[in-house]
This record gives sequence, C-alpha cells and structure tokens, in this order.
Amino acid sequence: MGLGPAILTIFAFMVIPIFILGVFSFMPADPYGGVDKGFSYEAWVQLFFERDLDDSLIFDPVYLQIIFRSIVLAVLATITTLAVGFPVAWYIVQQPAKKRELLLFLVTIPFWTNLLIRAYAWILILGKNGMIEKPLYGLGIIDESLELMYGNLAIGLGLVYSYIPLMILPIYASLEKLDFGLIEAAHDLYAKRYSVIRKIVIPLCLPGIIAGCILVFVLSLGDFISPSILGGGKKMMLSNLIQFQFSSARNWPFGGALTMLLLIMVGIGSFFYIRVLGKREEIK
Amino acid sequence: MKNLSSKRKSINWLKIFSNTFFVYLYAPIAVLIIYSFNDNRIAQVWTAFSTKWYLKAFNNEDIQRAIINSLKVAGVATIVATLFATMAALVLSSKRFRGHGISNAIISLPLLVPEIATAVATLSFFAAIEFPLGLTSIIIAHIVFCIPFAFMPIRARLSGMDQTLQEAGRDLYANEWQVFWHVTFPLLKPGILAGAILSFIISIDDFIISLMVAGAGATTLPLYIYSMIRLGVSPEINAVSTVLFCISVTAIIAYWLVSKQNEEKVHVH
Amino acid sequence: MNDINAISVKNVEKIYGGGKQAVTALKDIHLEIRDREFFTLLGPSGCGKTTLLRLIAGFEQPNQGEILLFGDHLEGLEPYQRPVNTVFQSYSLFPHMTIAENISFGLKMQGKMQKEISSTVAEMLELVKMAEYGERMPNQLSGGQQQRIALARALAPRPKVLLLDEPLSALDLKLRQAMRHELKRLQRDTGITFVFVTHDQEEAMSMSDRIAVMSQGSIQQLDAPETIYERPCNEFVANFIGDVNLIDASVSEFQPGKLVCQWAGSQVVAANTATTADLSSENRVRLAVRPEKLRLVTKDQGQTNAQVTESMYMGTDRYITVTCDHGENLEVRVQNSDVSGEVIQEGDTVGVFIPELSAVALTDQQSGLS
Ligand SMILES: Nc1ncnc2c1ncn2[C@@H]1O[C@H](COP(=O)(O)OP(=O)(O)OP(=O)(O)O)[C@@H](O)[C@H]1O
Ligand SMILES: [Mg+2]
Repeated sequence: MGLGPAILTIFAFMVIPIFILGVFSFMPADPYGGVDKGFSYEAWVQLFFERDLDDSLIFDPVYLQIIFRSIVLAVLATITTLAVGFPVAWYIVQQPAKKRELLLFLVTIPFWTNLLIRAYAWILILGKNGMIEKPLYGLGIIDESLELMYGNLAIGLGLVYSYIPLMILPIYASLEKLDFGLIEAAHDLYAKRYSVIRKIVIPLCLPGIIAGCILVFVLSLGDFISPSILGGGKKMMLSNLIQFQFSSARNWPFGGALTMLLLIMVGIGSFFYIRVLGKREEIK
Repeated sequence: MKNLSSKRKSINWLKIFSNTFFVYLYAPIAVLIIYSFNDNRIAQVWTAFSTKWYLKAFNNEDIQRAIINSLKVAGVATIVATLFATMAALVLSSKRFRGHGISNAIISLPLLVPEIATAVATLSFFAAIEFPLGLTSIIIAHIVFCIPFAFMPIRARLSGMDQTLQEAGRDLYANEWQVFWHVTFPLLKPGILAGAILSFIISIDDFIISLMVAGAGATTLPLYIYSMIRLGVSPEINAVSTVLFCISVTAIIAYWLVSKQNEEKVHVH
Repeated sequence: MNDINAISVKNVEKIYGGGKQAVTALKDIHLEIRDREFFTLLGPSGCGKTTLLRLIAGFEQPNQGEILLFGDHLEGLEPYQRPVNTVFQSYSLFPHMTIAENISFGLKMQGKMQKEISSTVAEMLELVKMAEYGERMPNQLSGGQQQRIALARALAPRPKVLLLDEPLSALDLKLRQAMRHELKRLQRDTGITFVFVTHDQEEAMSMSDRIAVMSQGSIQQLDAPETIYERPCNEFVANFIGDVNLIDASVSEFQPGKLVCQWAGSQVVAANTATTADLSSENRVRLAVRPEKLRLVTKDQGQTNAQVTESMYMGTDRYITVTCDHGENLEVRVQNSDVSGEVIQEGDTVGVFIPELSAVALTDQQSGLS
C-alpha cells in the first residue's frame, strides 16, 4: 500500500526512538556515553535531588531552575510576539491585495531561513562593539560594554525574532476571514476604534491568537539555538541541558528523563492547539 | 467624509509600528550580508568593499566538504521524503478508511515533536541498534522530518483537484494506470515540486538533529557554521551564512512561484 | 434502425453507504432506451438521475439488477471498457492539455493511429464549430465554448451512447437556449443515442424523444413529451411538469379511454388511460386540468359558477384565479387574442367550463384506478 513507506519510516525512526529514549531514562548511565543494563530511576530522582556523600538525598533546585527559566522565557517570548505580532497582522490585513501578498511573503521568508544564521546576525548587533554599542561609544554616551549579549534578554530577543512569523501567520489567517462589514457596522454604532478592536476583532480572531500563542510557546520551550548562541551557553534552557547530557555530561538516562518532561509539556500544548483548530473547523 | 479627512491628518501609528517591525525583521540579515563584503578582518569595522571572504570560504576545503555533505543529505532526503509523501497523499486523499485519522496524525507527528527531542531520541535509537553514525544516519533522520513538509502541499493540491477529472479519464478509455500517468500526475506535479522544495529547505537548514546524529567527518554546512560561531564573530562566517541564506531564499521564492502557479492552474473556470 | 434497445435497465437498485446511513438512491428501475433516441431523465434534485447515469457509465455498481448495452451485459466492465461516454456537469476538461489534446485523449487511449486521431479531432472541432480553437488551453475559453469542447471530447471516440449530466446548467439563459438546438442537431447528425439528465422541464420538453420523469429513486412515468404533458399518470408528474389544477370528482361511468364523472353537481368527461376501474370501494377520482384547457364562459353556461379573485396581465396570456361557488380555487389561463377589449375583471362572476377530454384522470394507485 502507498501509505506504508511514509508511515513505517516515521514509526520506525521517530515513534520507536522516543519509546527507546523513555526506556533509557529508567536505566543506569554508562559513564562512557549510552546506558548500562538494568533498571534505575536515578535519572528521575536527579531532577529534584542531589545525592550527598553519605547517599542521602538533598533537594536540589538547580535543574528545576533551568526548567523554570525555560518556561518563563517561553511565556515572555509568547507575550512579546503577541504584542508585536497582532498589530502587524492587523496592519497587513488592511492593505490592498497586492501589498498584502508581498508583506505576508516578507513575514514568511525569515521563517524558512536558517535559525542559526538569524541568531548569529544578532551577535553582530548586540555584541561587544556591535551595531548598538559602537555609535554609543562614538558619541561618548557609554565607556564600557553594555553586556547586552549572553543573558536572558538576548535569549528572549532571539526567541521573539525566531518565532514571530508563527504568531503573525495564524492571526492573519483568522483576521482575513473576518467580516469587515461587522467592523463597519460597529463604527456605524459609534464605537471608537479601540473598542471595536477590543469588542469585535479580538474575540472573533481568538482561535488564531490562541493557535499562534501555543505554537510560539511550544517552539520557544524546545529552542536550542537562541540560548546556545545568544546565551553563550551560560544561561541554559531545557534543550541545552538535554543536549549537554548527551554530549559532555554523558548522562543519557537523565537526558532521556528531561526529554520526556519536555515532550509532556509540548504534548499538553499540542493537545490544546489541536482542540483550538478543531473548534475553528466547527465554526466553519 | 469628516471621518476620512481627520484620519488622514492624524499620524498612522499602526503603519509606523509595522514598518518598524519589518525593519527589525530584516535589519540583522542586512547587516550580516553587508558585512560579508567588508574588507576588514574585524567583522564590525567597515573599511572597504571586498569579496575576498567569499573566495576564502570557497577555497576552504572543510567548507567545500560541508557544502557537498549538505547537498548530498538534502538531495537524498528530499527525493525519498517526496516520494514517500506523494504515495501517502495519494492514498489518503482517495478514500476514507479505518485508520485514516491515525495515519494523518503519524505523518504530522514530526511537526509536533521538538527538534531536540527528535535529535536525542534518534541518537538513542541508533545507539540501541548500534547503527554507525555518519551521513547515512543524518539522511535517515532528515527523511523523517521532511515527510510532513513534503506531504502538506501535495495533499493540498490533491484535495483541490476536481475528482471528476479522473472519472473523465476513465470514461475516455484510460485504465487506472493511464489515468494516473496522463491526468493525476501532470496535475499533481506542481504540488510535488512544492513539497520537494520545502523538504530541501528544511533539510539544508537543519542544525540540531544533524548535530546529534552526525558522526565524525559528516559535517554539514550548518554544523560547520556553528563550530565557527563558537570561535567568535568573523567575516568568513558572514560570507558562508550569506550563501546559505541565499540558497534558502532562492528556494522559497521558487516555492512561492510554483504554488502561485498551482492556484491558477487547478481551477479552469 | 436497430431492433435491440440501446440500453436496458432491468430491476436496478442502488443503495449508497451501509448500516444506519444507507441511502436508497434508486429502487426497482426498469427502463428501455431505444437506439438513436434522445432520451431524457427528468426529476427534482436528489431523485437519483446522476446515480442512474453513473451506473450506466460504470462509475458505480448496482446493488441489484442489471444493465445491458445493445444486448450485452455491462456487469464487471470498468468505465474505460464501456463504449459509453459522459459529458460532465462541470465539463471536467483536462486543464493541462490543449483543446485538441483533450479531444484526442479518448482516441489515444483506444490506441487509434495518429492519422485517424488528427482527422477525427479536426472533424469534431468542425462539428462543434470551434475549428480555430484547437491549440488553446481550456481556461482560455468561455463557459459555452468549454461546453462544446466537452461535447466534442465525449463524441470523438464515437460512443454507442452519450450520457449528459445537466450539461447546460452552468450556462446563462440565452446560451442555454441556443445550446438546446445545438444538442439536438448534434444528436441528429451523429445518430448517437443521447441520455440527457436535467431538472428543467422546459429543456426536457423541447429536446427529447421520450422522457422518464423520476422522483425519489423511481420512475413515475416514461412517455413522449406530449403524452407526459397531456396525460400525466399521477399527481407528481402533473405537478412537476407545467401548472395544473387538481380537482376531485366521483366516477359515474367507465368507458374505454373515457371516464364520466360528477363534479360540482355537473358532468365532466375526463380522459382515462387505465383499462379497468376499481370502483368497488371508492368511486372518487382525482382529475388534472391544465389552466389553459379551462374555459371561462358567461354565467350559468359552464359546469359551475365562480368569482374572479385575481386577474394578472402577462403579455401573451392573462392569468386568472377564480373561486368556484363550492369553494375550490382554480387557475385559468386566457390567451390574449381577444381584440374586442372586453377584459375579465376581478370580482366578475363567470361560468367555468371543462371541455370534454380536457381533464385527465390520474390513474396511479392513490386515485383508485389502475
Ligand atoms: N456517493 C454518495 N454517497 C451517498 N449518497 C449519495 C451519493 N451520491 C448520491 N447520493 C444520494 O443519492 C440520492 C440521489 O442522488 P443523485 O446525485 O443521483 O441525485 P440527482 O437526481 O442527480 O440530483 P441533482 O439534480 O441534485 O444532481 C441523493 O439522496 C443523494 O444524497
Ligand atoms: Mg445530479
């Protein structure tokens, strides 16, 4: 059957691997990378506790902090992309057809280009002696580096820059279906521009907003490039921590446990995303 | 009328905001490209126009190898993923059957799983079955996540296709195979092309998954760029990045043109 | 002329889906379509016309019964194995082929020689008066032109029967009327049996040799257009084709071809196609009278008197509604050929006269006759 190859490929090289990773998280780590035979829930314990010299468990929030930071950064990135993306989508939808098409295309181009390069480009701007600092030095406003790079700010900026197209596109899609007659009707009823947006536009394109938020949140949560390029590896996010376990730290079971945690969070997000999409279909 | 004229006088904040946004979206890329033509070795200090970093990059054997690896991976992954996706789309669009929904879900799974999870899961899998890491392992991983990207435009094209065209073919003495060859396939071709372009873009840009499943000597272009970035800012990175950026943009423009043509051709009336 | 029927449909039933969602689209269909006939399937939306065509073309299989093409069983033959072609409602021209390629498609698939193909294509383009359009693409043609090409494409392989599913429904009124003549001419010139589907009664009347009126999956009446109009067999057919007055009468005498009835206290002689009358239980019968067959006469000269409640001027006709003394409403159509200037006004009292044999007894089961 024609379906076979696609389904089998994804099943064999994605579904089974995730399952295997889950199994790995319950096995002892091999200090040379990989796992040893046997059963162990050490990796899951490690999420919360540290083993003291006498083998007693001490609560250790260091990993939870990283997970917490990932969530906070993802939420902030989502809020920022929404705050910026909504007006932009609103602007695009009001343009004449030709211009609308062009602007949309301009929004999509960065989405299809390499994230690595786009993050790197920000180093040129934010970095020491970058496009921001240099003129400030020249004007004598600052005399030492602003240290814009390698912090939460730079990571957050990278997340927003990476994923804002995914906020604009679904919002645009729902705005486009909006009946502009409704807006005119509202204006006709003496509603001010602001209240038209609040009372009519936002409620009607809520599915698009929710879809955009979930997409940006899920992708930001699992983002690897912004923290490792713009965070300089100092401020880790969940992905960096995972990647670290599979490389230098050689603790695959712990990496597996972290991945499972990420997958659960993303799974919840995706569940809501599909629900929202389903609702949208129903409305149609 | 009054409303209109007063609107014209007041400052259009929305427009200013949006234009600023587009500047924000493209300024970093513009800076990257401009400084790739900078003669100065210190990337942020502009001295004169020069293409020497491009020449230098292209004469770098490691970069040459990385580009060739990237093209090999993207080429093979694109062909296989597009073939698989086309076959799946043809089945999924023809009739509803048991397992229809679950098949669709499995095909879109790679879109939902975060890349880092895919990366480490694939790595664990290859370790578990003791599959050697190298170009082959990268290609397999790429095929997996390229399938849904190839699938989407093909599926869209098929569902927009007038089913009676196939019936017209059968009515006019073409058997199943001839109908596929003379009617379905020619009409599907732009969709297949669009799917292949998306696969190619996604594959050539991939970084994290390649990072985890690449063995020694299987460095792709994004992996090479990453290793350079870790050493610090340099005009050579700008040049290589610009090249990669141009490949993506060329492909996305090609995709756009193809899908525009799609829209025009499906509907006769 | 061939004695064998072009198409025989025997005892065919078609059910879509299964279980609770099963839809019976056709039930117990019997049909004989003669060679070289312009045959029309007429009926309201959803009555199963398309389904019947698709069964003949081979896109669907009947659940029961069989279909014969010039005496040959079609069962088990794929659409591409049946010498029958279809003109689709949406034309379905291949958008990636030129007009000439579209027309030659069937011939190529049949494995005809290139020489024969090109001459047939030219001939077909000539036939539909589109000779200069061979190299155009379908999207460069107007709706009416696409329609002609769809016809040419289906005719090119010289099918034994041509099936047309509402081919004119996408055209505007003017074009539709012009295409009626065109279709009739094509049918005459090619001598191919046409099975034409429509829900437009005027279209059916003007073109067909015979019409099968369908409703809810079964054939209500199969006759020549005149018979269908003049002698509808049941209420559905009477109502579906043209306007009609339905009146209830009691039978007083049964004669071959005639029925003497009592209506409004007077006698009406109605046409009757049934051969026997089952008057034992009920002797009531329902009569159908076309509005133009009714006469308005001076008071007390008709079967009953009536009051004019509405009189509408329509150009060639005047549409008049009258209420009979016993309460029944009737529609009457009076030709506008009177030059005396006397006009029937609302509120006038007139006599209603039903001439002999202008009413028809509806002879299907419900009316008590068979
Ligand atoms: N593929 C199908 N699956 C299920 N039911 C169907 C299918 N095709 C048709 N039907 C049902 O069968 C019945 C007859 O449909 P058909 O298309 O033959 O009607 P039609 O007379 O051609 O109507 P129209 O004038 O609207 O084209 C309808 O009730 C329709 O809903
Ligand atoms: Mg129909």
